[in-house]
Amino acid sequence: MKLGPNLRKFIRTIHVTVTVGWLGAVAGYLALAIVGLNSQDGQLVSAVYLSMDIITRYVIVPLSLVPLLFTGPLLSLGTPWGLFRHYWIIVKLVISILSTLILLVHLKPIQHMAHLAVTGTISSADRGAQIQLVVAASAGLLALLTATGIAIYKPRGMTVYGWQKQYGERAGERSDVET
Amino acid sequence: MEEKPNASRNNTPPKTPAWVKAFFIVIVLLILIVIIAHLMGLRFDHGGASALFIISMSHLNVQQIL
Repeated sequence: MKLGPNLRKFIRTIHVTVTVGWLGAVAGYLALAIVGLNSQDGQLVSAVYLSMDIITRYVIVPLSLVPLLFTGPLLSLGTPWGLFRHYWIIVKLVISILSTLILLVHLKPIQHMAHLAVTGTISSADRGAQIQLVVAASAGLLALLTATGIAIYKPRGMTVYGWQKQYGERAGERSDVET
Repeated sequence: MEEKPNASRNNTPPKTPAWVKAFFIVIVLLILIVIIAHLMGLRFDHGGASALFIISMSHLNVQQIL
């Protein structure tokens, strides 16, 4: 399956928009998590955790699933890059899978904190969960920055599978020319 | 777009680059740190509960389908 140039540009536009949006949403989420951890204002803390719950459910989760399930595989499988031919693409895939899994695992503590915010019962006993949210958001932001850097620099390194494919295609081209 | 490593000219498969090895070592170390922190009693209870919830729900769904 090979994508045409116009369709490829269209999918790439969606992919870049969504992945950079994911990065920005996690940065905003981290800012809220830090405010929630450090602020002494009860109303502000409640508002922060309610906002984090909404941002996670309606922005971060959809933005994480679109590149992982749709635009990423389409762009790699629909172009000569392939999904398993270059190490940088595999590394990006691993980062995306781990980030999304960690995000899905942390939906529960976010909902827990939002519930406490609604009932107004956030206490010092929830300090661990608050720190956990800051640590998870920091790790997520670092992972997404790494993935963005890898996508731009495209460090060299071809897998054995990619090498076999490229070598096989070249051998096929040579035999076509000779015959 | 296509890479032209020396290995392809020599007809020998390319070696895994050092940066890829370093990446996977970092990932394994991070997973080990999380496991050790969890075993030492640091709070991951809500996250763990969520993961178990997802697994148990998928188990229930399979049972319902069967």
